[in-house]
Amino acid sequence: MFILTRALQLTVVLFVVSALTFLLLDLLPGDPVHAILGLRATEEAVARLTAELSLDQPVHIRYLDWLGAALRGDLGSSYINHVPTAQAIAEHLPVTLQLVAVSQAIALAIAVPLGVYSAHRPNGWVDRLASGFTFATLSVPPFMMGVLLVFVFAVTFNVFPATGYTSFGADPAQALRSLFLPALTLALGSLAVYVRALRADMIATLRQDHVTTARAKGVPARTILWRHALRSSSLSLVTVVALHVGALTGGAILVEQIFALPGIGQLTVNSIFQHDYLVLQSCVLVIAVSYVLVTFLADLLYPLLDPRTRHG
Amino acid sequence: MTDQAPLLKVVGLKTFFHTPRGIVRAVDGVSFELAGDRTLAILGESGSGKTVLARSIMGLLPRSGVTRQGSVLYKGENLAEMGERELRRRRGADIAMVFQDPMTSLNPVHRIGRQVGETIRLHRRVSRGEARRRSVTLLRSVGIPDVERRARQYPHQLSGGMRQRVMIAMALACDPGLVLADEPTTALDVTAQDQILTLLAAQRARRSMGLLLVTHDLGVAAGRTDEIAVMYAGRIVEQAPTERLFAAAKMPYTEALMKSIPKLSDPPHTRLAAIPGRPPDLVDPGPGCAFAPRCRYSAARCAREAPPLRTIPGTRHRYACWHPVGGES
Repeated sequence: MFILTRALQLTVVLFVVSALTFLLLDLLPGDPVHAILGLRATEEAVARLTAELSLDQPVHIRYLDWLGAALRGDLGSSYINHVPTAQAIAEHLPVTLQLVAVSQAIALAIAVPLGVYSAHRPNGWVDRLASGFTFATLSVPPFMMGVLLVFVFAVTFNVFPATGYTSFGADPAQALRSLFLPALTLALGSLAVYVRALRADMIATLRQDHVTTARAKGVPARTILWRHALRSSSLSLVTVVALHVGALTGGAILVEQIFALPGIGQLTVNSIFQHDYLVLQSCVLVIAVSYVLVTFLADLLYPLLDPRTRHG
Repeated sequence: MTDQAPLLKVVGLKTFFHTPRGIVRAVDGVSFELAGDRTLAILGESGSGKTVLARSIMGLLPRSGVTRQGSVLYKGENLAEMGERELRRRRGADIAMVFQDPMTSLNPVHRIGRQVGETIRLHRRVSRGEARRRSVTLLRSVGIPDVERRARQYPHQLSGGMRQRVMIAMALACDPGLVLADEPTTALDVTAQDQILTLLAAQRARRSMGLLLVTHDLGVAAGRTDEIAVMYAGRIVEQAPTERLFAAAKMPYTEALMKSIPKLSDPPHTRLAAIPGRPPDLVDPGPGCAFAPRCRYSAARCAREAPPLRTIPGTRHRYACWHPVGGES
């Protein structure tokens, strides 16, 4: 029942998002014909290509055409280089997914211990240091942070490559190395929010009676933190991680540009500049789907973390 | 308690909280003894310091912002001087605690069986399976029906009374010498209250443990205790064997407490004899008897000088009052 409702919601969201983007793209100045032929193309050539790409049709007809084909599994091909859109997505999406996965692994590996120990002794030195550090990283925009990290790790110490992408299948170690700096850039942007979310929930949990019960049983402080309090304190964290993962899947645009990663963000940017509507439309679709899927996964996680949310 | 050392001996225990308003003297020089197989009730209204007293004995209060003085001798060992590690080995194993609200005192995300088993595994070298077997036996002994299924459930799937039984099973898991029950029945409905008190009394007798029963309810204290210590403003103001306390209370506060219980034999529309005023502010108690402002017998001396806790010769009855009910002895 829950899954069915979700699936229905997903469908509605996708329709609305795809219709809105189609409309918005139509309002953009410029068109793919001039992007392909150049500004000095003859009028006949422009008219011919416009008809060829069905750009002479009104926007709602083009949308319905696209929708009909998409429902049959055909996302069309790029106006510019005629690569099937599905193929372009299949090439770019894994890069972004790997980037997001590594960045979240880094962010959580830092944020969870920081959040837990900040809550253990609020206003203690760990807490102050963590809050200072995470807010400093939050207030540096990603393009600055990226350049800074490149300067330190790639230029000065030369431990990680500055740009480029190696497929995980080809060379896992090299893939991780090439993903490290962009992933760290993204992770540092998420860190402050994660630590805050976990810290606040942990502090609330540690004030609860069952923590006193655990202490009265003789449970050591570390066990209380990690095994008694962390799980029931992780609901807010799961929520913000889901939102970040959803946002990053479509929105790691700046970082992908800085580090020259051929991800979905780069595909999106290129298709915008080239007025490559069909590709852009599919990118937006991918972003919308990933958002809904990630929040759906988070919803499935809640009852695993807290059994009280299982019944009604 | 004459020749053998008491199970628990609290001497001059003081617990002060440092707050922005000043120092709160929550427990202000409490001394008492509890023999190995007896039940002592600590009776007092909200804010009298009884819960803080129980937590001070266990060393469960936060370290920062709290001053604790005096000694807490359990079987002759001073818990007040122990480090966290030593204290932890005794908590749950030698001294166990049952809390007020079973709705919030169990971990909501762990199964019942695991929570009971955890206490065993913390203090006894047993396998996971053995801990599970023991916790099932324990849960059965505290009257949980359908134990195998209940042990796999989460706290929210049990009623309040059942949860308090789980708390008791957890407290008994390592055969402690002493159980501190802090208002164990306050959050329960009346029928469950009686069942839980009976269960505690039966288990106490069977295991010959000491039981410290903290309560605000004179009725709870009356039924199943050997002795009652009445607390007011962080101090014990009267202590006597239960029957004697009810028969010959000396301290006007104890008398007022007893009079404030409605009786079925009273004619209809009898005014309830409530105690006027409010419990004193523990930040700056002043030099005199803390109860003096609310006391019907209070005289000039009561406001000037706090009465010491005196024992009536030849009895186990002590009280702190300059003008005791019914005279000096």
